[in-house]
Amino acid sequence: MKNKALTVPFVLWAAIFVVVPLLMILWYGVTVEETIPYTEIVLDDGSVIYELEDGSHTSEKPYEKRARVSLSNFKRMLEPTYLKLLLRSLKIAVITTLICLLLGYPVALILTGRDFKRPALWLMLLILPMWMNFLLRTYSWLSILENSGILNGLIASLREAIPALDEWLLARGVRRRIVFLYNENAVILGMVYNYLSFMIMPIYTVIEKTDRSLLEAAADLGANPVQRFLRVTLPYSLPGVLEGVTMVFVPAVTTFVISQLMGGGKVPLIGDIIQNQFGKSSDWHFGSTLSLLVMVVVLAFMGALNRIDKEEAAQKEVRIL
Amino acid sequence: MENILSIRNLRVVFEDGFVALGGVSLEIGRNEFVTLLGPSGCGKTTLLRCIGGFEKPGSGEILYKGKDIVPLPPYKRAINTVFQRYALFPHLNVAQNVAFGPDLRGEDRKKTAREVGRMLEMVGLAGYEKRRIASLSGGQQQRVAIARALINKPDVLLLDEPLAALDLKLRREMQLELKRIQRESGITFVFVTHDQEEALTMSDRVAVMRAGEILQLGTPEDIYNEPQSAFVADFIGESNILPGTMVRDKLVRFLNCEFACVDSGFGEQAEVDVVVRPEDLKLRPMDDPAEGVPQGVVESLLFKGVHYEMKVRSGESVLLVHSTHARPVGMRVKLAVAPSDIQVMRKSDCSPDVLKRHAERAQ
Repeated sequence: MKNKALTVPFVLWAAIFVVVPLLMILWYGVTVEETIPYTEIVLDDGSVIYELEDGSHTSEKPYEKRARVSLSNFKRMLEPTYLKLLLRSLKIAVITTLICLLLGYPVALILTGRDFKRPALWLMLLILPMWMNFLLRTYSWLSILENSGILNGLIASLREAIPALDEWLLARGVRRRIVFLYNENAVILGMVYNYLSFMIMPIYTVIEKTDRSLLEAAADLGANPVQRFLRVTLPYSLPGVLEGVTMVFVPAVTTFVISQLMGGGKVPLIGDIIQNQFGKSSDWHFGSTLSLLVMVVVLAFMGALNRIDKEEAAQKEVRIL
Repeated sequence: MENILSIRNLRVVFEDGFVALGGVSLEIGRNEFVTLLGPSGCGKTTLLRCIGGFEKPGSGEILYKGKDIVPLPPYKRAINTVFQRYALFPHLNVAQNVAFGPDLRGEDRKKTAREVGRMLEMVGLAGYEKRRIASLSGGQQQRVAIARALINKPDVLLLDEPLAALDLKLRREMQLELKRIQRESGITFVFVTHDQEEALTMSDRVAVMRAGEILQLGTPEDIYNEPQSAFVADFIGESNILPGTMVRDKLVRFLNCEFACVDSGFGEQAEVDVVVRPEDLKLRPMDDPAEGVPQGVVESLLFKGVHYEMKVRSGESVLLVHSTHARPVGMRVKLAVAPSDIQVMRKSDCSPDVLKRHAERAQ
């Protein structure tokens, strides 16, 4: 009872910074903006008055806009243009998540290995770049990959040094300057680079925490290293994998900076469009509607993930008997 | 008969230079119940882990049925282990845990299910197949761990302090249970414990270890009645260890008196340690006719249930005496010991420093 008072700051915080903004987005999402309708009446003396809907009259021209509840933005949202953008965002996010998982899981596994000395140092090295500004990190990729960038420079000097290689590449239609940027692959690269550590950390933590005596017990009962991995390490690391997947997938669906820098505006994602609505297009209502859409998609995704986890647990139950 | 396990000159030195095992040799026969007994840090668990394959010895060999198994990883050894904290798989239920080994070998599931039932029955957990590990008590988990190991029909079962986490009553029950399982299954048990009573109750033979070495190996009776060093005497049960001098064969002097004894071969006037068990010290009234025996004063008296525990001061020494007859504090008594109850040993070489280091290490 007495502890209830301690929760007040948190409840207040949650109300002000979580519930209220969410309600505002919901409100913006289900409304459209319109000017108040009126009819112009020219009086006999030539002056003009305006009659509003409710029959009242005013001598000043109504310029105020007002919000009206309408689902028209939802209809607009379902237009193919936006659905395609959403699908592309989902596709890129899924690919990014898979690559992060394929790269991150082995890294986490190696770092937790018994023979691996000083894992903390290596984790540090992995995380250190993440302390640098996000934009700076992404810009550095630009300077590596752009048409006159470091990588193309290296390839050019290599081709100059070895004419045979140059001819061979030319014969295969590889141009002197390779365009690495401004396509989906570049966006995916940017995302993988920025989000990889979010995959490694939770998996590393879970594997690290796994009781080593369970591995010894499995070995004792005849499990070779592969069987040990499949039957002990993998099932125990699943919560970490799910957490990592969530931590990569959610920002990957909603990001807009990476797609703008690495994609150069040629690979717009749903996040870019939302950002546009609050910026250039200045249509907060439609922006909010799209945000709601993304939110629903993310929630559905996380729900599905939870379900996979539960089903897997149920399957394990019946695996043997 | 050929020994199932021959451990020869096994040496384990940890990375920081700590000698965990300093050249241990041990022969273990078929169907034998051998206990490795010693204080924390004596190397008993390290030895067990070497046999199981979880620790690589620096040198020496472990012959299993005549073949050196040191290079083999644990999963290629026909030896199973019951781990100290059981190491059951919490994501599997009881039956799945027990079936882990047969399942790995891809054995027929129906047959495995029958085997699991049989094993659970043997350890007294029939009908527990579907239970979750977390819902079991410590004793039940321990039984599951035993069933999980035994279903693989190992020739040797290693047990690493499997009863340490149980309360006294349950521990007593499980001691009898384990002994019964060992007899019925005909499996060789190598059992690690620091509980001397447990070791004496269950084992065919006991190896008392200290500081990475086996000090004494023998039947529980041998170990208890004829400890070969002060350390063993002290570790196994309560005892009075007194400095003495071997006057000549079969005559030893301690507590400023000469006693007839059964030991010989120490040489004349040799410095020795004398061990007398508390229950072998007899307190006689002062008017007892015995001549030339030490006298003492009762300093304390404690009722211990089966017997009284008294401390008797005699000169510089304080002796522990167990007796069913209480003597009041302050009473003067004569002390008597039968010759066969006097155990004479060479002066011990166990320096307190070494013991302390090993004990600290274990913490």
